[in-house]
Amino acid sequence: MSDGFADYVAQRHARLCRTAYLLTRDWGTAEDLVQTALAKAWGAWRRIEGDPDPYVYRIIANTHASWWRRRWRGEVPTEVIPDVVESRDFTHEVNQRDALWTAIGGLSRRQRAVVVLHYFEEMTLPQVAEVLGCSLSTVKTQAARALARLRVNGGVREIRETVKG
Amino acid sequence: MSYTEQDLRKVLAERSTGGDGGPARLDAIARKGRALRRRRRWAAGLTVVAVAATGASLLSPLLRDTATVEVAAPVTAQPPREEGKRLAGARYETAGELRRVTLTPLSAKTSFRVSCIAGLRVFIRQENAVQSDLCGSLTNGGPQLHMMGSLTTRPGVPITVDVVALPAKAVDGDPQDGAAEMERLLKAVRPTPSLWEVAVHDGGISTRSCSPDICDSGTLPAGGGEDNLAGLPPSNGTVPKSSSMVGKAVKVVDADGMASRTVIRCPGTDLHAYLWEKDRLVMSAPCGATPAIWDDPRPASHTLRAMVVPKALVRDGDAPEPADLQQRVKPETGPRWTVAVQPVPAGPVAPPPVGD
Repeated sequence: MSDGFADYVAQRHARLCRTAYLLTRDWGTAEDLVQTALAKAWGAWRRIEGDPDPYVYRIIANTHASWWRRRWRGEVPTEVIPDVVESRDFTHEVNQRDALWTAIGGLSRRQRAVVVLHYFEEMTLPQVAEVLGCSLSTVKTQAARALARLRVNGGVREIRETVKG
Repeated sequence: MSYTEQDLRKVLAERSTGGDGGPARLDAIARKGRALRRRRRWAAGLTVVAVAATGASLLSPLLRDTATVEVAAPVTAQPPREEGKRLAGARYETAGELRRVTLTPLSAKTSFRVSCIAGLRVFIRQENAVQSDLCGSLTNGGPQLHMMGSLTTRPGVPITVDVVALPAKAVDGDPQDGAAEMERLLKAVRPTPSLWEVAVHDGGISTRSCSPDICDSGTLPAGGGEDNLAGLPPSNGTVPKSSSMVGKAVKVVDADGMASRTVIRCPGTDLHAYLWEKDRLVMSAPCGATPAIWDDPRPASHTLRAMVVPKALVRDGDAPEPADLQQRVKPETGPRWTVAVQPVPAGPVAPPPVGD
């Protein structure tokens, strides 16, 4: 095993999975994404100088983006047709954070990556730009659009209106 | 009620604690890493058949101080399984301009590859469908990215594809936005010097024939036997020596007694490249998007020395010796640059054709 790779995985795996989950919103996919990213990093480990985090995060973001483009994202086949009738009144049950979480899911993959890296990984915007391989202005634009979109998202607006009413 | 950034942080923190991601499985990661490596090698169509061990022992005294160009193992020209005949290919030295590629497909499966020397965002438009991806190395020393994809084709029915490459850092928007975004960016971004190429093949596509002045790794004939688009000799026998030091010489050795082509790739426009054979200056060229190339037709072994310096230190008509220049320049860390000596087979070397 490459020098320091095992230590890095031991220390960072759980955190990387959390980040990947926020990008993919599915634990199985997140684990697969992290394993793929680490496998790619493993192949280049000796060439990585300094902190490997930016390199690994970049692989995660790029791999996630490529999966988004290439993988089939249709419905999941099931033998049992799910019951779509819901008797509960969600108007009062959906809490604000659920609505915000739903709204985050509506962001584009790039906007979501910016939000996750900045607000979850606490990276500065220049660090986010470095990880995503784009300019600082692009990151700022994406962050501004993401925040604007979260504010006007249907689910969020509904909560606001409910609270106001 | 409005959401704050703190709310956002809380939601992200809470939601991501729903699972621990499972234990790290190092064996599975390594296994997957090896599989990825195998797949990449297969994609490049390379099969290592033998290792020239004697070369290394002959070179070792020369390479002791500043280990330099390594002569890689010979490789077979086994074509990739799916890459068919090249249908179109062009090279460009400008980013930010629309390029048009016309071809006549041979089958319903047609694939393309765009390779770039530095970070570009490429858009491929076929009728109303737009594909977009990053291309080239985005950072110094970062991986070489190719944009690869397929086109919708019918045998014998000509198609025209619009290709736009823009500096990745200039792309301000979600590239998934499609044709409108591509048009907007094309108008907003000024053309800049760069180096990139488009290859369209029947069937599948591989990266093996990427031109050696664009790709770090070696090149081989494409699936249909075509040479790289630059017309440069294949570089599969050469591993470039890279450096991140400006003002510090790197020694390279052309070891196999063949004619050679030395390629210095230094992307910074504020830099200048020098190449000496012993103390004789053989090349002085500005750095930038296109590589600096020196052809040596003599079938002999030479010790060469390459150095990249700030352009501000270059004087008109100056032909400094390495020792003199070394005294004038304080070595410092700078952008990554590479120097490679490619053995040239017998016969003339074709000049690199450019599509612009």
